[in-house]
Amino acid sequence: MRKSFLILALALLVVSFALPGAAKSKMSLWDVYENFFVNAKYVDLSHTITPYMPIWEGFGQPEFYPTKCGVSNMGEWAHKGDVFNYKDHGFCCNAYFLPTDQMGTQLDVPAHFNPYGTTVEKIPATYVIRPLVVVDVHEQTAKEPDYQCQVKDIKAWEAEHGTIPEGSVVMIRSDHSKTWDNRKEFEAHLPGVSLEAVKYLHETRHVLFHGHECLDTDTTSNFASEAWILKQNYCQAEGVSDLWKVPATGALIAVGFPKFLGGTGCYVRYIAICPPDWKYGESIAENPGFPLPSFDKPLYYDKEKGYRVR
Amino acid sequence: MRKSFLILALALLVVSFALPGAARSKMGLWDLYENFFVNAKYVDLTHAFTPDIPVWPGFGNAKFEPTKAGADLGDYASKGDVFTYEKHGFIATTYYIPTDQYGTQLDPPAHWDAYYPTIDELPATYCIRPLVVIDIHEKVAKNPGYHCSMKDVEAWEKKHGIIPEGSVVMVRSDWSKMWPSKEKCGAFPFPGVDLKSIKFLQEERHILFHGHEPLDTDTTPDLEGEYWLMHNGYCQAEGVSNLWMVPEVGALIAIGYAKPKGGAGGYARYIAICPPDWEYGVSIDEVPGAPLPKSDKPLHYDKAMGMRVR
Repeated sequence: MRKSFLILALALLVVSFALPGAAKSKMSLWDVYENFFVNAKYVDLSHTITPYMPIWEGFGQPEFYPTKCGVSNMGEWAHKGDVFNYKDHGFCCNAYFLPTDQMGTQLDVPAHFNPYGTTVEKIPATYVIRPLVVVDVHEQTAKEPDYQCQVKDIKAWEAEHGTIPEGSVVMIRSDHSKTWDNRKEFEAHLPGVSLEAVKYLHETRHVLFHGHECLDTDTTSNFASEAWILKQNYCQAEGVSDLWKVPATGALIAVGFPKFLGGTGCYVRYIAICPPDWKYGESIAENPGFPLPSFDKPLYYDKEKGYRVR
Repeated sequence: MRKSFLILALALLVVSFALPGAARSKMGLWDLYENFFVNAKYVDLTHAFTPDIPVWPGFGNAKFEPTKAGADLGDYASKGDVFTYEKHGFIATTYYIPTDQYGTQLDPPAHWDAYYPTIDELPATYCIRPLVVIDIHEKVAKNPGYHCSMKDVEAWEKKHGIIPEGSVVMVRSDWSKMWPSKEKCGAFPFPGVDLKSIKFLQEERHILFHGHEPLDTDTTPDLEGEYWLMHNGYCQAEGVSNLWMVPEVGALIAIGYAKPKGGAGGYARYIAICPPDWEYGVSIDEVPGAPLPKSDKPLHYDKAMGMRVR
């Protein structure tokens, strides 16, 4: 029996060493989806773009309009200037005046500050899914509303969770996004990220980019952190929301934005993909997304508000 | 020895049965990233958004302009001054977009039906899904107005198995290879997807949504495919590109878009995540994305082209 045990132990040892490799080679991306992504919890980290959201005063506000017919050769169906609508044309759509690409939840690209830096359409497709690190400074910010995230805050995260992974996205949670709907409160303070902290993340930890909840990176008069980031050809996320709903470690982030040619900033949707037992968010199993639910109230354009509501 | 072999065989059997479960419970989302996403091949399925891409003539094209100061800002800028690298340290871009049906899109059902969700009302679970590609490009090469039919869907399933629930099904026609020629893309007929196959995909296979390369779903006079989708609470992707660069089975798709309130269309970003041995695309290993490459030519606004170029 002793020999049998030895063989058994050896066999188990070999198999257990081979396990990660075996799992890796056996699972396809579709297996990964079935086993991990159907039950993962999805949390949207993006603000909705509206005509009234906080924007730097130097830019002005966006305007939304119902789309009008732009040509005069559509016969009786639509005359030039007619608003397309469900009743007469079967559909509606929106026209947008967007005064700046620096608004809402953003990804700032180097060309925003740097004529030799990358524009939006040249950001590689490999930006799409990354590990998400959340450095939580919301308690510091509660005491000191203009608190700037320091290297020591990042080192505190590392002492608890280990080294920040290379290529990850590091979001700084200040909870300032909770004031987004109260513009005065949102603009009263600017919890930021210090240049030393930004440099540590990029030069020592080689992260993909960092992000924050405010619309500027720090409170220095010369935008020290943002200028360094963009002139070194890195990107940064701004106007990020709902970071209190995601774990400090162990989630992934999906990064999606339309590809404006020559664009100097992008309108982004960031989604955190959290473990199945996470308390916030919803899973594909819970909300598959098809068919979508219908509302009791129809959509219409509210002239006063300047956008479509129900 | 016989007994030992029996025990060895039994042990291996037990371990091999336990493997998928073990791998599943042991691996976190960050392990998944390391094992599957660093070496995966990323292929962008999105057209760049420019002022001269093909668009339905009833809407007209977008305009891009350098952002001007929207308010008097003391010595820094007067209202109407164009922000420049030299004077202000940054640039930004202004967009006039006559329609949200532009470029690579995600159509939410509110585009045609006032009681169904707008782009900002879609769940966060529209994020990462299995990607199925049904290839009709050879039929389209012979007949430019060919529409994907049940025969094509059945042929895919015969070859690859049942289309997975919750997946995104893209119909490859290679129509997008004519992009951005307005003349070629404006030609009639164009390849479509017939109503029967759309209904089968949504009602029998319960997919998330289907997508196609042209800017309309079919060539019927009342656009019956899109009509049925939008009035039944389903989305669809339009203006999809580069489907010839992705496998018919086994890839994932990441879905991103700008999220304006009450939006009746979505300026989307679709990225295919393909297996590591796939012939197209780039991996995170190959293109980590930070820092981004520096260009040798500065960015400038070209008035004739109406956008920023180098």
